[in-house]
Amino acid sequence: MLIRIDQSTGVPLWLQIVKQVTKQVISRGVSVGDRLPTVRELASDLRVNPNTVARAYLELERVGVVETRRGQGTFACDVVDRHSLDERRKMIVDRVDALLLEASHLQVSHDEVIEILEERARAVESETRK
Amino acid sequence: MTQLICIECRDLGKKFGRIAALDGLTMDVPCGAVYALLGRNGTGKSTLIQVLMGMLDATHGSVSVLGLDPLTQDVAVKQRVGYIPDRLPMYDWMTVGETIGFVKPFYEGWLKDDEEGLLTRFRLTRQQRVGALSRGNRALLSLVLAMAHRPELVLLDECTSGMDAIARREFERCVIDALQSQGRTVLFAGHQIDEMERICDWVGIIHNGKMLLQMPLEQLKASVKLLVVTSQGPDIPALSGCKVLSRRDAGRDMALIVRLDDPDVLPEMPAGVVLGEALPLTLEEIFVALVESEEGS
Repeated sequence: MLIRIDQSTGVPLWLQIVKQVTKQVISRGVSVGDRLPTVRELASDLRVNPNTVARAYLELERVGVVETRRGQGTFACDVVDRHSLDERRKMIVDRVDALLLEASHLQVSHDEVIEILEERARAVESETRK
Repeated sequence: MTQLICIECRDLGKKFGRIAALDGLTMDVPCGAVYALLGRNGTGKSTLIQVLMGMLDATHGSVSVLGLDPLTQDVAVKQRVGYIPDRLPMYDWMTVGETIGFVKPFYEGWLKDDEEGLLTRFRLTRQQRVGALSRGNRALLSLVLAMAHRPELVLLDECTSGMDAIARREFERCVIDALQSQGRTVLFAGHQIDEMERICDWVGIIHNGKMLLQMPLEQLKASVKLLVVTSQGPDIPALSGCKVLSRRDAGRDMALIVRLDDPDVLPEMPAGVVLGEALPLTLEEIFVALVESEEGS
């Protein structure tokens, strides 16, 4: 599991860990049932306070991305199975909001954003079919 | 929630002649905290740490470390504290092994296994002469001396300045691993604010011998933000609910660094002013904004 901390954004480190682990579990970069590093291992790897990792793992467990089995460790859950479509949609709303903000800075209208989205969706689909 | 206090200072003062290095400093370090002590050069950080170790006596005020008085109960304090001073004083003519042999007998709680483990981990050999060690390896040896007796409190005074990146990472990993133990407290003073931000959960900023502020890192990051505002008029009226620390103009936009009265509660914009974004800042940016604002006033 590859996690990279970016301090320059000012985003809290525990939140960065939550987002990256979530993404990896959803995209199957980390397979269902895989064991995550221990709090100690990850804290040492990333050179962050162990409490930061512990907090991230707590949040990940709260939203059902991982589960902790006492004495065994922390494991990735089957997110698609566990979460309703609503919850999974919420996970990408942040990205959509950021996109809309950037578009407005660049004077790209919302209609144009939707057009671009549809174009790119078609292009990506035909790529994956090849 | 009651929290045990590991280090408590009340109105601490220390004068050297007419110069007040500490001038009414009040500080509370909770047990188990990783407390980053920030401040410009010469603001009293090292003096404070030496007072905590009982190496200097305060001119006025009170200090208590692990519930003990560092002046009258200094032996008891030193048994339970691991200390690395900024100048890494050691005898250059001694070897690593001799240095350890010199320091070890002072500590009742010295653990031979920890000593071995740390030496191996840091790739230090007992035959090496201290004078021949690189700056990085000197600091790592200091860490062995400070940690092998499993202290409850670790005081680090600017140890990593001048260390190369690899030695510094190894140093940090060792400190982080030590944090796994329950209740261990770390206070470190330094200038590598980015590195400190990764590890600390409390921040204290010293300025002119006094504590400018001290609070959990998260609260500080929620209290000091960058606001991007656009004003219809030529200037912005005063904002309530915050203190503006600095301001940068960029065309019609203004970037304001503000300290919010309540964490995460953004100020209401007066008429004609639109808030574009409220962005988080790094600890270093927050430190610079707070101290520069203090110096400017």
